[in-house]
Amino acid sequence: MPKAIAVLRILVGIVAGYALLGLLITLVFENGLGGVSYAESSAGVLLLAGFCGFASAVTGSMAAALISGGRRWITATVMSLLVMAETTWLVTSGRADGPVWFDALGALSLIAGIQLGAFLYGRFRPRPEPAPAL
Amino acid sequence: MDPVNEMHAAVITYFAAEKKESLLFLMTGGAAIAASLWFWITGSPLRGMGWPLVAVALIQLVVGWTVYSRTDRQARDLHTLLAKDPTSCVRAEVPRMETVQKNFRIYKAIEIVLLAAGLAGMFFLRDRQALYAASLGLALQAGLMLVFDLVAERRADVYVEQIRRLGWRCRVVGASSPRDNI
Repeated sequence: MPKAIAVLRILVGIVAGYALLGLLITLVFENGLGGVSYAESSAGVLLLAGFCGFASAVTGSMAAALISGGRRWITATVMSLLVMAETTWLVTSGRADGPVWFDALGALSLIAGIQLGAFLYGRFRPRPEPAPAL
Repeated sequence: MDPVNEMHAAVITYFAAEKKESLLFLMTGGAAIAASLWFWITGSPLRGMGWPLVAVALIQLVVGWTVYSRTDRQARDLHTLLAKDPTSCVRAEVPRMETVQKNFRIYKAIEIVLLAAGLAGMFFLRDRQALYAASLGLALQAGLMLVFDLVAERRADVYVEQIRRLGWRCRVVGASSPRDNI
């Protein structure tokens, strides 16, 4: 049963981490920056949006790692695959409003953020106190 | 492209995606109920997950079926109105979609609260098996619903923007009604 719980925690971690990533991006892009579009936004807004997307990915990945009980590379890999799948779907279905390189760059920055989040979680996660030396 | 034709295309794209997502809702709800039954039948210690899984699955099934069954008719009515009077179509569709967008904000808030409750339960109720399992189920379903609704909300935003822009273009080019062109 601990194995089933571990799998479920990973699943919840991935879903919650991805939801947090999406939520933060929506919040920043729509509410903070008033809508971001390749065709209509200025270069400054696009740069800021790129950085905020990256930061959202770091946060979402760290949350996923925490919820999954520290299985950070599994959650980071699946979240990265989800970003790749979503971007491919957006580009191939014509829903993306910018050129392919722009969406690919956006996806790559999210994937980099997700991997960085997993790395940072490993660096800063709370560790048990070492046993005192006798 | 003629603005009216562009509006027809926007309607087709939006409602086709709505229909696909309603199918996803139905499949998720079905899978959640199947998983809950399996937990109960096998007497799994995770059977506590069944309560939130089934509760949200029922909502998913009702919403999924409602959207799936009405989408074709809705799209057909819009195409008919669009062909007759594009301006009226925009006037009717924009307020309807604004209500949809407002509802998404409410759903999002509820889902965030449920997800937070589920996650809190996962961390603070580790010693109570049934409640821990229920928290896992709640977090899973709330997280999934949040992801689905974020995607749907984004799609609705794009659609409203398109309808508004095209509605404005219709007025500019004077194609508010086929009769105007006679």
